[in-house]
Amino acid sequence: MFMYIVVLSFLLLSLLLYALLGGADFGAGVIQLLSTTPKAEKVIGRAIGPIWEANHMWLVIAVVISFMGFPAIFKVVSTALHIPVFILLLGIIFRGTAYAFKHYDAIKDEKSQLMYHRVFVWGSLVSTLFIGITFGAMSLGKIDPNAADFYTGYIAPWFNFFSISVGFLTTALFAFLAAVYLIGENEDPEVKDFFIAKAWKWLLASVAIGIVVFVAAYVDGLPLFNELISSPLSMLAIGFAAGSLPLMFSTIRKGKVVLARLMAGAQTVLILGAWLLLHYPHAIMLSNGGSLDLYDSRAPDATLAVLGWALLLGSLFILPALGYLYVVFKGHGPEESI
Amino acid sequence: MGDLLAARLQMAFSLGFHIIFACVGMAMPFLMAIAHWRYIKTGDAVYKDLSKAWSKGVAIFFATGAVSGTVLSFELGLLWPEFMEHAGPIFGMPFSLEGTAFFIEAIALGLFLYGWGKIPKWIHWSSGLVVGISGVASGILVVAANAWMNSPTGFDYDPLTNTYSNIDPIAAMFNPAWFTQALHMILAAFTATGFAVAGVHAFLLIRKPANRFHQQAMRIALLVGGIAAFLQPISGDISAKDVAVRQPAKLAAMEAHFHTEEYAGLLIGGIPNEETGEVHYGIKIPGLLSFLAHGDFKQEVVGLDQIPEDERPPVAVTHFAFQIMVGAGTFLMMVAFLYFFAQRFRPRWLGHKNFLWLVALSTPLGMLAVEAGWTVTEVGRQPWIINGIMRTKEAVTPMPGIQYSFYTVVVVYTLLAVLVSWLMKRQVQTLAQNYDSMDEEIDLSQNKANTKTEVIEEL
Repeated sequence: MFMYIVVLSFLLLSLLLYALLGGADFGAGVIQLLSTTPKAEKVIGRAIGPIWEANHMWLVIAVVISFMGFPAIFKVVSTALHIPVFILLLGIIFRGTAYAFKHYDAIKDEKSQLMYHRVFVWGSLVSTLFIGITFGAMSLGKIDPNAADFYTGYIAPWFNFFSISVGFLTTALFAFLAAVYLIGENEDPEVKDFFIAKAWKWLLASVAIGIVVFVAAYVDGLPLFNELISSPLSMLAIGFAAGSLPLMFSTIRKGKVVLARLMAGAQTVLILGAWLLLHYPHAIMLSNGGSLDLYDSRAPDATLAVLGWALLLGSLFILPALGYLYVVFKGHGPEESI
Repeated sequence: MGDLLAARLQMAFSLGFHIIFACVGMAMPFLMAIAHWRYIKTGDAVYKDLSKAWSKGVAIFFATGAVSGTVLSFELGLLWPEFMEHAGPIFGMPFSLEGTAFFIEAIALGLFLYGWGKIPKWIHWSSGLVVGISGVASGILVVAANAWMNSPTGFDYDPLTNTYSNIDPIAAMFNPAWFTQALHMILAAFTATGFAVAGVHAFLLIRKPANRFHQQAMRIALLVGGIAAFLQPISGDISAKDVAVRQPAKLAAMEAHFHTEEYAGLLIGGIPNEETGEVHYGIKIPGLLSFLAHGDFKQEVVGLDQIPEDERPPVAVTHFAFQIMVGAGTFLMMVAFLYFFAQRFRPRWLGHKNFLWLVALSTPLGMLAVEAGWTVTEVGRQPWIINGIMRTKEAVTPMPGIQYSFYTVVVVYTLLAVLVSWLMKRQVQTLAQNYDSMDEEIDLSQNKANTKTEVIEEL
């Protein structure tokens, strides 16, 4: 039981860190979707350059914990949600390589830089959208492992109002996170204002889409509102997230870098936390009203024991190294990317 | 195209793509660290520039390897959900450790790439080395997981109820094949990367024979690739003896050995006919297969005739791939021999056009051997996904239409391969304007004296 909790905690921790760190990297692409400036582009490049590879390792860790620790869940997600996961992968491939190519291309001509930029930005959108769609689909309850036809088995679970609106909510939240993080990455007032404006817009978008998610849940037959009311902790988390909005608005407007970052991070943690609490111990809701639960889907004890130790030992290596990386590069990014 | 075939092709294509980037990611940081070490020791700017130029290559390859690796971790489930549900808790251990290794690799690479002048020089140098060490650790761990599919251990299986019990992930990780397979793979990565890098620089030397930058680059790469190429046959021999005992069907397919016999001959070349069980146009060296497989010329070697028909791997593909691997590997070992010989006794040869052409033409051979070797071990394990326990066709996803995702993967990865090659070309094009030391030339008449001292330094 102890190791089950360790493994589960690491799964949640890696998902959370992926949202907070990797999510911001995706968001940095998304906020450039509508408009960007050469200066802002430069700041973004400098800010995520040294750390972006590390940020995306959290996803790999989460996947490994899933298939080793909760194999039944991994199987159902990769079968019923094959299509959105595959599209997510395409997004990850395109944005990841475009980003690296953009920075390490020896010849920085306008034409190819623009091509990389476009692929990076659109790849970021596709990735965030389908991360959200996949998670939305896991909680909606349209997954049917015994489906007779292609549509019910592989399309209906995710191609619906609710999952897609969760996809857009994820996009907006990640973009908001990125914009807030980026405000403090530069002293130039012009760039600061650019990111402050972006943070505002995406925060408003997140709130608006958040409301749409509740409507979509109602339309698709998910009693999200009722579930929320009956879960006091989730209510508390959402209440905090909503209640802190006015303060959030004012800190962003005043450009209070550290506080804004902390609050934006906390917002994400609260929303993700509320969602997890609402569903715990269910991992996947099925179309027959049943569910796949975390505890029931766990791997045998021997596996959880070694996995737990591997994760504990691994974090002894990872966390100090990661801390050093951030200490070296955050606050005073490299003058030029090599 | 059937879904099983499409899934197998997609997996093969994804792995075949990723393996190149994984090899470069394992071996190239060491080249970079050797150059960096020499810069710190000698203060010679050529080595600093070389280290920087290579590190950009590492960055591009690492980024592409990271995403294609992420794709693979998902594809295990997307294509083989039934396999992952049962195998995940058993053979997942090395993957969970690999997560840590990969993480450290990413962190160390960030430090190395962006750390010039920002962090103390020895920490900086160490970060480069750590990139390589954690890359190799990742490689060993991933291969250990693959080795488990060849020699499944660490559980009890009940075929009647299709249940897996008494799971021991540590025993599964240290399965009987992990060491031989990992050793073979790591040496292959160093050989392939060393020769690929040396080949590119040799090609550039043909045009500018006196360029010090490319000369030093080619030497460091040949040193690393050459040593690995020399050790590889030893590892190959250990592997062959291991496979002969554990997977006689795979060995028989590699050698197109249809009939069980004593004094079994080693087949070189030849076109096997799987219908009739005959081989045309091959050369057979009597007794040698028995000797290589069991250390005894007269020992019986199990042929495909002793394997039930529905448990035989595809013979032609496995046999051809094996021939290509051994052929390319042997050729590279001879090039390495020539290099070491010339360096010791005939330093002038190293600047000779013919030698440079020989190295330049070797560029793709190591990677070709890696691809062929991977084909041998994967196709040679068929029809099993877990050797003797679960068939590949039982593991495949129930989702129809996999051929479309296969086509997509082919298009995307082909595009990426073209782009990466194009980027490498652009790196080379701009070397002269980015690095001052690129213009340094050495007096070719002094070549002999120069190389003599370097030989001593290198050995």
